[in-house]
Amino acid sequence: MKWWIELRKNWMAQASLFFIILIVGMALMAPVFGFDTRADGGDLERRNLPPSWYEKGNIRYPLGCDAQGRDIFSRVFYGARTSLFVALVSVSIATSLGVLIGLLAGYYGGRVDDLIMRLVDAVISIPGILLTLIAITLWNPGVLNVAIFIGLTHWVWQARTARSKILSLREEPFIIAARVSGASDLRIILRHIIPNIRATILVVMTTQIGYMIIIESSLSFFGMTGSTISWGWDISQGRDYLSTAWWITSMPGVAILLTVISFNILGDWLRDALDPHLRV
Amino acid sequence: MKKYLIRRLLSGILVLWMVLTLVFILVHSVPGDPAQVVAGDLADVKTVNEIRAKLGLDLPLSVQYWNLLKGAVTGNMGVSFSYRYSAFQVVIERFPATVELTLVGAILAIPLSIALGIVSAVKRNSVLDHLAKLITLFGISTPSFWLGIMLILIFSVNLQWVPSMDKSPYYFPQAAWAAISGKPVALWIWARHIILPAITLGAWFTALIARMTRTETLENLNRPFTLTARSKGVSQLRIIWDHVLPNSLVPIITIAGIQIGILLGGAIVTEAVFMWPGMGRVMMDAVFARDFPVIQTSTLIFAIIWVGINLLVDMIYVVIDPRIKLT
Repeated sequence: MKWWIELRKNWMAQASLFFIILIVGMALMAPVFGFDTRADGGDLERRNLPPSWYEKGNIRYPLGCDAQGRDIFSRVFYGARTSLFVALVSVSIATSLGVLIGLLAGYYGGRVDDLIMRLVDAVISIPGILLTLIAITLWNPGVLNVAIFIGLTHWVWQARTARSKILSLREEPFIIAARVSGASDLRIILRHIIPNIRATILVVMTTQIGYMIIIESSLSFFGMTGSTISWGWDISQGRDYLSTAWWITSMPGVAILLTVISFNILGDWLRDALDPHLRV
Repeated sequence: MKKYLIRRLLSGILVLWMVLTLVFILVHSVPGDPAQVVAGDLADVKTVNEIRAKLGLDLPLSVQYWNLLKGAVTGNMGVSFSYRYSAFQVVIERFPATVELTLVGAILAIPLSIALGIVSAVKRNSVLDHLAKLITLFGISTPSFWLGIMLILIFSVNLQWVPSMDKSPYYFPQAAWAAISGKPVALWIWARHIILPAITLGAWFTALIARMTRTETLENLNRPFTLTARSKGVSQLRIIWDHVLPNSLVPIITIAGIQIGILLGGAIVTEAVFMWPGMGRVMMDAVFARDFPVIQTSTLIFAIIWVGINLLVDMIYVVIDPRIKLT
């Protein structure tokens, strides 16, 4: 349990891990706590109710209510479901695809590498969010589709990381020894290369979860995900009340910020703990 | 050098071709009929057919693909559905506004981030370093659309210092010229309009480069040449300026060049939040209106900018680091 010892040295990483567990737990348990009904059930009596620390606030609605009188606290935890789901699915897709492509480029080198790297350039040169936007408008938006498209358009980071790791691994004596002793490409990749890049990829994944949450919320902000229970959507809804009810648009943003910061801190810590030589 | 340039140019063209092909595949792999998608669900058969003919969607795929490539070379990318004139012109008209915003964002971001990164590395583990780390952490973790809204909330709604949206009627050269010829207020109006969007756009970039600068500087501070310089009694400032910075800059601008796509992507979001009349706005509108010619044109132009900037980055290498020879 080396990572556990490492974790105990870093209180920021501990706090981040705690926050992530909290938000994931709350999101999963949302129906148990009744967040789902409270997130939907509005009452115009409570329209734009300020957070509880205001004089007019109500302790039952700690972060206040939105323009339709819905509890923002519940919406924040319920909205976490969309963001976390999209982030997890898209990071899984991006990682599988990116590592596969990076492996092909790094392992086979030469022409294959050249061609793949130009493809990487092509994908990188189009802003990722634009590619996702185009894809989503053309197909039907929907949370799962959005997750898939974000994944399909954001694999470049993993591909580049995997490739550069493999380029240096390829010349290592143990790989050459494996090849000389007649191991097949597949065996070398599965038994020798993958275990050696696993840690690096895990670091990239952790940091990318945060990035994907930002992408998802940007898309939701523009109403592209079709989901109305989401941090980005709530932020866009609160924009019209900036001068009268700042909390509607601020609270979901704080939730995004805290979640993404947590994943970033955790990613930085993982990098230091697992792979001190890695620079992203 | 000449051979190198030609090779780079060819590989740039290869990238642009791939971008066009990618967008082509994306548009044409839509389940169902793109013409129907453009026309909307309620359109009758006649309208859909008319649209199909107008878009050239009734032609065989190979012909459409060829037309797209031909159009990319000649600048004839078709007629925009929403604006009803050349898509190329629609995008190019908005181009200066985006360039101005991105440039101001980058000019704010780059010196600040490099300074932040160096200070952070030199005063490692000091209060200053922790503060810088905190700032950059916030920078990479804040969604830019939300940052924009928060800036509007604080500086436009509450303090009422700056307008919350839209661009000033001038571009920088016009504003600067007006200022020189005795109307300094023009420059003030220009600055008031651009400051919030530029900060919103630059924040993420600042954080990214500051982090990179910190890592690179730390590494170079422990290199033998730094030790040699220090043992000769060279001042800290000179060491950083003459030895550490030049060695750190190459990887920094490489990453900055590659990530310029994300900066441009940020422009799309920023322009939407601040109603900035640039390419990003027009592109966003085009995506919503399914205006394929405009989507294809603006994607191509973004890709051209990316290829151009990365070529420029290679040129800058030679200036920064005389050891690098482009062959």
